[in-house]
Amino acid sequence: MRIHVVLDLYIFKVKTFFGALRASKASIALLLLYTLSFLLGLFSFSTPISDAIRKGVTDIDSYTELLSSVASLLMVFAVSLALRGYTVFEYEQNLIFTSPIKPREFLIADIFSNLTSLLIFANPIVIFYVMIVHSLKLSTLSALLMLSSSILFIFTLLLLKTSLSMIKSLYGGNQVNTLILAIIVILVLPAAGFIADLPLEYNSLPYPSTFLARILVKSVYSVDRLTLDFAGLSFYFLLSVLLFLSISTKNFFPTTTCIPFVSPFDTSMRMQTLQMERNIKMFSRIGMLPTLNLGSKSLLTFLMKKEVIRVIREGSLFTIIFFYLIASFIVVATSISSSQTTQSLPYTYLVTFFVGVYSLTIPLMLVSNWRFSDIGSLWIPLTSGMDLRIMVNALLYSFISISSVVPAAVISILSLIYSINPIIPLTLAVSTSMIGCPVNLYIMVGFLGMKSSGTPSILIGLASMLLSVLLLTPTYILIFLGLHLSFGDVTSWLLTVTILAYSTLIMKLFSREIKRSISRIEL
Amino acid sequence: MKAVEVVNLVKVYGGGIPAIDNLTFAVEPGEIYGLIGPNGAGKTTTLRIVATLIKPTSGSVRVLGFDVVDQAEYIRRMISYLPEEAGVYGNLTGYEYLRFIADIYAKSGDESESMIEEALEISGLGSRIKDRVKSYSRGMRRRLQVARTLMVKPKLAILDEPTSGLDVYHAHYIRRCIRRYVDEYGLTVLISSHNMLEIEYLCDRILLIHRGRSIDDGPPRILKEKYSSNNMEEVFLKAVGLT
Ligand SMILES: Nc1ncnc2c1ncn2[C@@H]1O[C@H](COP(=O)(O)OP(=O)(O)OP(=O)(O)O)[C@@H](O)[C@H]1O
Ligand SMILES: [Mg+2]
Repeated sequence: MRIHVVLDLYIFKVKTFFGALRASKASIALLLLYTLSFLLGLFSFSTPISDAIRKGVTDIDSYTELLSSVASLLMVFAVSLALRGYTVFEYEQNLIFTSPIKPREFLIADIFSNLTSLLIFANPIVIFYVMIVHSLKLSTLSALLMLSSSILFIFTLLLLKTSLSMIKSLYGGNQVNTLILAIIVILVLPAAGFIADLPLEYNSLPYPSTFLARILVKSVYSVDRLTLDFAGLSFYFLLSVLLFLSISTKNFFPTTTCIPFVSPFDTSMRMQTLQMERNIKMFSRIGMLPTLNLGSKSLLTFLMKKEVIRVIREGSLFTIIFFYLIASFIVVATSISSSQTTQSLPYTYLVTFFVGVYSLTIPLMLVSNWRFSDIGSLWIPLTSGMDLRIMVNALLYSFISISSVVPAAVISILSLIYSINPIIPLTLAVSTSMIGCPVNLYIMVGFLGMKSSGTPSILIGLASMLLSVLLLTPTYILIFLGLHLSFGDVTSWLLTVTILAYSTLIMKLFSREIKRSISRIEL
Repeated sequence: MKAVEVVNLVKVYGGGIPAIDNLTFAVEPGEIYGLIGPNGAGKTTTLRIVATLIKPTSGSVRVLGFDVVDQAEYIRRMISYLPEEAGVYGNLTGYEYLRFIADIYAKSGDESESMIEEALEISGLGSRIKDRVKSYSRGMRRRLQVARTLMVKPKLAILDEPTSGLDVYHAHYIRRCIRRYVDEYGLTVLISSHNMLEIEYLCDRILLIHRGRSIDDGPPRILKEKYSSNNMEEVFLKAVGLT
């Protein structure tokens, strides 16, 4: 192994990945924003934690339990990445895989560059660690112990993920899939114990995540009696090193899966499009199954059908359904776990809140997918001389129907489970999509019409979210009133009608504006 | 020993129809050997197999005496590959990019410096080499790629449509560079191209592929006689059976 080659390769990879960061101020601002908001969240956690620790908690076990389930979720995530096989970027394949660089040299550079990007994205956690060490006045030994065990754990994860993805790439097949899935199941099992009352607990099992959690929690109090845990963690680390050493000399280059290179900081259209493609590709195969009959009498319905087909084919619809499934799962899980504790929220609140948050993201998803997949053919309607109002309406109506139908289905199911009245959550979902879709489209079209159309999509999304929430304030107030002043049936319906009328008004207003600014886009 | 020896090569992508169907050819050391054929004929697939990037479904491919499957490591020390569409390195400067490659291939600091100097000359990018690759035009990127492929003076250069997207002046210039490298350093070149002028100017021998099969091969001059044609374009059309 040649150290200087590994170093060169590492620097090259990091430079390529973070290159865009050097060039664009917007990206740096975004990263700062990210760090700040992340830190804010951690702060709100840290106060109760350090308070509790100062007061002297007796319940060390449950802290360990919590931490080790988080750590093993991280492991599950890392291991499940291996199911894709070893993925590399185009440039790595063409350039590096035909050069004298050896597999192991490449792998080590890859692991360290993964670690680097991990550290940059997790920088708030590093800051948090420093804050905790400082505010609790931990001894140097404890601080070092926490740090070194975290580093050991992270390396174990990276080595495991690397080796497993290589095994998957090299040998493929169902046996490897079964192996990876088995590891995942073993890691998840104790977590399932929370819900199903299994006698399994992370605390009592020799998982790497348990060792890490024990060290982290216990070293806050004293560094005694940690030798065993540290030895356990080191054992797993050595195991992963051995696995890595035994597999890393194999020529796995021709078996890798190639993915287009995308830096998260890139502001160029092409890069964002590629990223988008990657996200929705997973679902696009299912999308070829349904076909709609395109023929219809009016241009409006024709265009609407076309949009619906696009949304199905490119996979956005499945992404939406997928998101909702996860979200409803979380709702159900929270309600189960909170019913065990003292106060439980009324389900109507829970469902309404969940609908409010999630239905806000769907218009954003639909509109940005439209941008990425249709901007290239926007010249067709724009140069065709057709009435642009029809086109805008077709877009809006299809977006609104899609973004109302999916939540509506979920709400119906949830309201059956909890036997609650679905009217209020339904009204919220429909109003959110009637206001959210036009607002998102308006802002997107506005940005596209600007001279510098290379705005990062996150910024556009942020702006759309803010404006949507602002315009939805009346809806939120009315919904809030409706929830609190348990109205009779007639007043409830009146409320719904008022909200829908208001939403229609906003929609009409924005659709006129969109029509005006869509003709300003330079293609 | 042959520079490249392909025997009964078959490549099937994911269970479909074969992209390469029983292809056999050999490239002599120091020769410029051209692959020509219609779109989808299997040129890129062949080159990627020779470059050890993908594995053959069956058949054997040896490069400079080594097997592409079992001895890829040795082959990679002696080849340099220019892909059909080179990926994006947009955020590095042209210079950083060349520096990186030179450092991988060179055995000493001096060698690395002289590689970069040569690459600067081949690419003809001048002071633009300090700009980020993102800001280059298509042709400028291509020139940077050709330069990095040649500067390491491989024993075998695998060039997939090296001059695609280049203007007449730069295409001509790049061809002269390739020729010069072959003459001065004794490289062997395996090249694919859709430019018949280029093929005639550069190649000692060519292989005509169609639907993954070889239809004919030989020096351009002989092929022109055989198909009683004035230029390679006519040879191509007649051989593929399009006239
Ligand atoms: N990754 C792939 N997966 C499936 N099929 C592929 C893949 N790459 C190429 N093919 C198929 O293999 C055949 C040969 O493709 P190849 O790229 O080698 O052609 P080519 O001769 O280089 O064409 P061109 O002149 O257009 O560059 C084509 O039928 C193509 O569809
Ligand atoms: Mg090709």
